[in-house]
Amino acid sequence: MTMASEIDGYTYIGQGYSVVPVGKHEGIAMNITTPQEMIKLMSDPQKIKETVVVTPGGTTTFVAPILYRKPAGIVTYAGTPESHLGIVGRNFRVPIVMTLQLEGVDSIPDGTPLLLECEGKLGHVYLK
Amino acid sequence: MTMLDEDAFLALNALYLKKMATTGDLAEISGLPCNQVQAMVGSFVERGWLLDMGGDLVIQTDGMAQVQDYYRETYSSLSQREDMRKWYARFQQINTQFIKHVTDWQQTEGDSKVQDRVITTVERLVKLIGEIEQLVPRYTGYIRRFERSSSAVDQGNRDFVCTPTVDSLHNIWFEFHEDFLAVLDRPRDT
Amino acid sequence: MNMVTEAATPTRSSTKWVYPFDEADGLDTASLGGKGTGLVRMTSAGLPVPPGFIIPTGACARCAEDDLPDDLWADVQQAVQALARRANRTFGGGPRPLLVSVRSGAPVSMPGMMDTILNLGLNEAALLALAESTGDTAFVADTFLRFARMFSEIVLGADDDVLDAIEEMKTDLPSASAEKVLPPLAAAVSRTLTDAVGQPFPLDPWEQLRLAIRAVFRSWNSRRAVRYRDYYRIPHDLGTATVVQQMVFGNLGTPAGTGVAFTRDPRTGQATLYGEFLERGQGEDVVAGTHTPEPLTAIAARYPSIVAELGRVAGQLEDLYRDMLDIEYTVEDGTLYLLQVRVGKRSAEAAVRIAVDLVDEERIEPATAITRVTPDQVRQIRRPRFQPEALEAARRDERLLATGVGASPGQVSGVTVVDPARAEQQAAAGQPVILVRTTTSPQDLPGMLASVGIVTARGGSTSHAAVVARALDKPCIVGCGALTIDASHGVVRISGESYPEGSELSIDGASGQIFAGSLATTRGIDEIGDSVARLLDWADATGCEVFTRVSTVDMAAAAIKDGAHGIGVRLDEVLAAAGRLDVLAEVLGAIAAGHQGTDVHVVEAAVTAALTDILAALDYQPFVVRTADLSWERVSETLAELTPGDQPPPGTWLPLGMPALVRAQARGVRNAVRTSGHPGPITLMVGGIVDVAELSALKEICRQEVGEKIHVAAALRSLRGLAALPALAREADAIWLDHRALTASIYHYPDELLVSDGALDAYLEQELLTADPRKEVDDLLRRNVPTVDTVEWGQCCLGVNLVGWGFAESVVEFYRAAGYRRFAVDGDGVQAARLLIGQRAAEADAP
Repeated sequence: MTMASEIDGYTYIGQGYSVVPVGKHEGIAMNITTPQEMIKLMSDPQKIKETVVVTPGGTTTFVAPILYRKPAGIVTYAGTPESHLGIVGRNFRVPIVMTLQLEGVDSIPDGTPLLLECEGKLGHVYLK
Repeated sequence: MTMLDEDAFLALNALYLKKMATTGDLAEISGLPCNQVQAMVGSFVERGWLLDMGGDLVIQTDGMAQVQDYYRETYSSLSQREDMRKWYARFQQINTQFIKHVTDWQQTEGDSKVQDRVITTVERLVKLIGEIEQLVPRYTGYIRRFERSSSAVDQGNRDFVCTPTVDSLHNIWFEFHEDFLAVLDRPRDT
Repeated sequence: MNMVTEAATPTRSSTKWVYPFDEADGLDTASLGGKGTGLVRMTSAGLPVPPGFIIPTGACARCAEDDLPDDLWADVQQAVQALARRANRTFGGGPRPLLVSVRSGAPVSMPGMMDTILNLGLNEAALLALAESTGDTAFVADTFLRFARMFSEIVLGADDDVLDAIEEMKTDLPSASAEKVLPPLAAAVSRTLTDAVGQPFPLDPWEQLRLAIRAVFRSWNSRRAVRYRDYYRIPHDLGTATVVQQMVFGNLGTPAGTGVAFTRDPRTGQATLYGEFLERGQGEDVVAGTHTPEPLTAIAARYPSIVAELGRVAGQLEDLYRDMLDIEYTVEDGTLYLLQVRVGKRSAEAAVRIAVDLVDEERIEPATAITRVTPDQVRQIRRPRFQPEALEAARRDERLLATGVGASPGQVSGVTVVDPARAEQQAAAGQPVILVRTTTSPQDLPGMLASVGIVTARGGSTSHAAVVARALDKPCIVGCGALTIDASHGVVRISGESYPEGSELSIDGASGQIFAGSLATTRGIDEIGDSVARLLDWADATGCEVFTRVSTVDMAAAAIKDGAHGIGVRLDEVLAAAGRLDVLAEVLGAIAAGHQGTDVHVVEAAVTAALTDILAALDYQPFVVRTADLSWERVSETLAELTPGDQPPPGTWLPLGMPALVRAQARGVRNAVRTSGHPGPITLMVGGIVDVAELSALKEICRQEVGEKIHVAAALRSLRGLAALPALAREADAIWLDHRALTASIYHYPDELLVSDGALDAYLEQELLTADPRKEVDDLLRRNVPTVDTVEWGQCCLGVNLVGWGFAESVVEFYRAAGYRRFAVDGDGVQAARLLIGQRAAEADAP
């Protein structure tokens, strides 16, 4: 098991399952809870690239298509890497942290700069 | 507002399921001629149902509503049926297995025995779809796509297991799942 | 793929349906299947194989459609009883129960076929008896559940959740006496399956066996298998055989386990046993990935006698098969058993080493050794290429950035440099450099020479970059429109992304693909160069000669090292590689502009300078100098870059249309021969000749400019030329058939454009052409190429020129069969061609 490491200038805010080990990636959080919000984001390819999609998860299949546009990352509060999202994420090698357990904060507001660290089976999320 | 005609539904539904696709993808999936789909796409864009981003089409909220209306109108008699619910329960079982096998396949770097299991599971779904084909005749399209892509896998083209950018088994499965949920009027993500 | 074309003979009424392993000698693979053949062969060699029998492929057609015929079933029952007697066991009872495995075995392996059912033969009595005789209830329960799982999945078609339920029963076993555990377990399995499948799980071993055999034969007609055969045109009446074999247990006693082994290391070919072993496992465990096998090296420390025994058996098998083998084996309570053998797959390097080692060990003859390596493997060794896995990963990760026109083959990784001078510096500092330019010009030549690969944004397959890269034998991509170069900032932009100088890129000069990052390559020739050389010497013993074309001293040295029997140059390429193409352009420009009496002496001087060094590097090899081909189609793009706007002078497209230039080149050759002291013979060749009068004129030019020491040759590029071949052969010292140009002329395709095959590939994919002109010899050509024995060729040497087009086996075979024994191929194909031609000749010589 990999432990969350201290990273200078960043605050650790929680961990979850990592889908594919792709190292550290940064992006700006955006909460997405409906297909409509997802469609809106998909229509803005520039924005996608810098966005970490934060979604309640569970059966968030509507999020998977956004992977085609290579977002900076995806964070879910439920679900496991054995899922549609996991399969597509592995293929596109996008950093994904699933079933994130927050520590010390109770939500990630839109616009929060995040760092996702996906190295082993676990993924860690940091606040910049 | 009038409901979509069948062809328009087939084309727009293909995009509804994929969320993003090219005109060529839509023609291939719907089985409609390319120029017809091209023309329809043009009119969909005008109505704001989809957005054309340099060849990549992205469905818009109004387009989704159109497709959902069609599902509701056309399949209302099916969505409440007990046998359909039971069928879905069976589907869910093999769905879990399929996802597990594909995940295993990815993590074993395409182990051939695991690949066999992926295809066997697809064959099970094809058989299962056969049972409800009379109720939803357009489902033959999924059978056709599954067979074409599993042949490709057997012939050594491993992209057709789960690469998202081709008509892979996983893509078809995913779309079928979304499609059936829409028929049952249970869009699970809203 | 190796296809068996002849189907097994259908069975007759007097048919013997069943062949025990020790009574099937003399039956072939078509009848016994691949698996069965191996078992029979090992049995008759006295190797430790558990006994069993084969129902041959001839039974497949009937059994796949109907139930098993009565007489077949009676034979099977008899054979099982015989197995039981021999093992002093009982099928379906105690005190020592007989268990069997049932497997499919087709002459050609394919997906969709039934795999393996292990541990068949357990009913209540057998379960209890097995527990009694082994004293291990847990082992028996495990054995039964493995069987139940496989049988349910394969024969009854149960879903995964049923299989999972069976799997779970393993963990819920109470620790009690066999009587309390096993019968309830069997009942529980039977109940679960009856509920799920609606078909009772048979607890009668004979019924289990009958259903399992039927399932094997039926799997021949599974949709997947049928589709696969359709696609690969494998005859549907080939059929599969069924193998029934006494079980041995990798989970019984100590030591016990199962594994696979190669008799030599399949990665390097080293003569050491290589493989793995899963202690206390049965075949399925390895696949399921639930257990991790250990390498044999680790096992050797723990159970030295097992590994030593495996080594002895491997040696015996190699004596039998005279090749490297892949073995599946099981160890039951300390005894080794072989379950399958086949010829092992191996890397290119291993293929060469093994072939040569087997000759040294006097296991095979050199003529056999040369058939154990493919020309492609030799090619792979000579020129490292991307590892297939690395390439696949790069595609999967979307690292394919852009695709241009593949102009000169080869796969290479390096760092981007956009300036030729910096390319030289970086290369001198030891960096592999990929030179990225909008276009290239002769001033870029030193940078191009220093680079490992070249990419240009503009230009086609006959542009300066393409011509020079081919002349230098370096991977090159041209006309990559997705690419822009910002020279002032040293930045390459590809589809919107920026790559500063020093970024790692990988290029494939055949497909034209550019990837981000560097890709791992296969190992090169250094490790096994001597073995390759020996192998190719054996191939040469068949009497064929391979020439190649070079344009620099380095290339000439490489060609000699690769064993080329003769060397050729084309003067336009030599000048391009020396950076003197401008000389030709200037002279042509001047002539075109109507300057009477243009001084062609500069051409003579340039040729002299460029050729002297190359000639000095050669010793005895025959040397062919081909005059620069000035036909506008060929040089237009190159020269247009040098002298924009000029029209070609009239007559450039005729072989002797500019006699002054031919004379200048001939004099250049003469000077170079004199300066270098090459002993000769030197041949001067002109391409496109169709008439004896042209040849006579060429001879006269040579006589006047060079003297008697030079030979004269014609390269034929059209059907007209072929028609003149018998007459030309009486006059010429040598005649070469330009195969690509001949093909292009038949299709009326531009010769050079055929080099960049992307467009033609797409065309073939749309099925707009039925045959690929690069891979098959066109029918029209077949009818017009004279066979060597019909030509009175006297002193004239005949050759086939395949330079610039790779070489397809069918093409080489056509000319070889027509009696041609001399071939010219690209530099990187010399070794592969030597091998291929040797193989074909050896095959033709075989009785």
